[in-house]
Amino acid sequence: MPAPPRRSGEGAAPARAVALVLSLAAGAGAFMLFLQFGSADGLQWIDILRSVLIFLSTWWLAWGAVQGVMGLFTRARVPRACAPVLPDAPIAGRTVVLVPVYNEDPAVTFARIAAMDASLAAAGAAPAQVHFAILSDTRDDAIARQERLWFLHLLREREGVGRIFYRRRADNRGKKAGNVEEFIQASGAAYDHALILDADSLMEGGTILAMIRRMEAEPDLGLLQTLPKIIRARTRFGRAMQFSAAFYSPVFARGLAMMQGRTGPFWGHNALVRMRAFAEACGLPELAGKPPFGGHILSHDYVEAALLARAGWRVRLDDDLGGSWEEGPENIVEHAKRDRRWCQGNLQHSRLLAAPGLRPWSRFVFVQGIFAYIAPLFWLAFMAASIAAPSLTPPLDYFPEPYWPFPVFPSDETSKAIGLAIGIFGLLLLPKLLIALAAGIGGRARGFGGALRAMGSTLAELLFSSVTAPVLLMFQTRSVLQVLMGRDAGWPAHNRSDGFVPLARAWEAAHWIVIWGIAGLAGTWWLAPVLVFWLSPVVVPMILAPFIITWSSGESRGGLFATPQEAETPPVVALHDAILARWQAGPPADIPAAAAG
Amino acid sequence: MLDLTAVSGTASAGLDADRLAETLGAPPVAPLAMPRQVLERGPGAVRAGLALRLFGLGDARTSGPRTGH
Repeated sequence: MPAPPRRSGEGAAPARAVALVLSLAAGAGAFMLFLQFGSADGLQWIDILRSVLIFLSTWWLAWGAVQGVMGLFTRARVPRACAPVLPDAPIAGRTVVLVPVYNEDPAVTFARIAAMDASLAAAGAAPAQVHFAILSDTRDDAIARQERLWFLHLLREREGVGRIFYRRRADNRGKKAGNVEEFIQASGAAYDHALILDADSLMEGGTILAMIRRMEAEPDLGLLQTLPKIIRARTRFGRAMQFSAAFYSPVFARGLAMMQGRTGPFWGHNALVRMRAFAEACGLPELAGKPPFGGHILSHDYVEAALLARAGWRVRLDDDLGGSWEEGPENIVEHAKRDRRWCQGNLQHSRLLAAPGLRPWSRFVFVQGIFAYIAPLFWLAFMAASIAAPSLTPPLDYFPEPYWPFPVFPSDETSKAIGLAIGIFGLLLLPKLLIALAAGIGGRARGFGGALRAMGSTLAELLFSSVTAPVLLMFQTRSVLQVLMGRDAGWPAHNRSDGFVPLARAWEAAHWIVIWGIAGLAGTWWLAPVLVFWLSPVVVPMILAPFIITWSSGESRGGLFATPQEAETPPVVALHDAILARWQAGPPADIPAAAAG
Repeated sequence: MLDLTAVSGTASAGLDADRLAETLGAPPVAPLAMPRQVLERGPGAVRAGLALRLFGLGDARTSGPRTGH
């Protein structure tokens, strides 16, 4: 298959330039303000260090904020590059839906496949058009046996012989990317497209068909990513994340889509790939050396998107497509576990920054991914430097002129520090508040319980994220340091059903954060008592970390954090609920005979 | 998680199910080559990689195409 011609970023350059210039300007402004404030009593090296840290941290904050604000000025729509596609246009090619599993509950996972298959049939897909392949990397033999039994049950229920497949790998080399690659090498030529899912993904049949039609209408489209939204959250933490994903993410994604050009993102699941393009462009090499920086590429999705773009294929996020769902972690501990893997994967991309032929935007995406994990370290370093600064600064000299009898007082630059603090809080809060305001005015808030409740949920989410942020910051910092010290995250199985975290387990997971919080408070009290008040929003949640983890893992009640999916269960989710309830109510005893027949 | 014996009926039926699942589950045989991509870098990139190493961000080199697979 010939690769499509290489083209430029297709109109994304102005959006990228605006975002970069505005965020850099915000960073530079913060740098100047802090430098003036810090050097009021004479410029010291520690002032320059703190100003640089403030620049980096503010730039990163502003980069996210600008994306959000840009997203507010556009609407979700069929991308301009996308040729007009009729909703019932005939589908010529064959698609396989790939469902990698790894020690998952097979009944729950396979019921999702049954639901998507039923949804596809309802949307008008012919059985021969879309196949399913369950790609098991399960290491636990007991679970693997259950997988085989439930697979037979799935076959019988959906009459899926010859179009729903199951295979288990003997070894799980390359993890998820290796799992998918093994399927493509063995069976890829039988299909034109592959829809790559996670075990917890659910997609409406209509969405899948729309994606296939778009890909068939655009010969140079190599990968089409949807914006998955979180469903089925039950805990306070889970529902806050679910609300964020439903309320803010579409706006931020639209901002991102403005900048993507031909080099959009791949998030590893809920995305359609052109089989031959993916096969030709995305064979991942093993990096020299041992993990965490060597070995298999852990965050393979970013790299695959970059490789497709390098080969001239278009990679695109279509934020107008709905009907794409996933489940998220239900508590901070599970979130931190997942984040540890992502952190390692993103830092590993530092090895690929100078890979030959990549598009500049792909390299920038790698830098962004790395920055997402090291930015908290800049904040932490800034706080540590601020605590240490008074003891590193020479005492004030009120009589710098030898023969001048009157004291010279340093200029008062406090207003600049206050201005800077307001600016940083603005970057943190403003995009979310603007999104809530726009949702209230534009009517989108109706799905979130109305304008008032949506604004209430936004304020609650801001408060909630302020309390949990220092705890997450500490987990993230530990992850970065562990990776830099060469510790591999391994491949722990997801604990998708885990919700409540008892206090003893929270203490076990976060006691070190408490110790650091107490040490930070004591150090501040001793070295810079004037900063105790300013640092309390960080150190108090750290000291209370186990309580925050336990409380936030409790069941969420009340009207806050309502989402449209809670008010009206999406069809494919309702199908999954019904199928799973039936399966769990009375598993059939005659699976082998039934499947054989 | 559901009880395995409840699903399989009997142990022997479970064994049959294993074979059946293998037979019915086998995806179509239609090989497609997936060549290893080159993520190596040139001399300038090696310098960048050395700079990264100074910050503890790992080895500068990446492997070439994997062989013997």
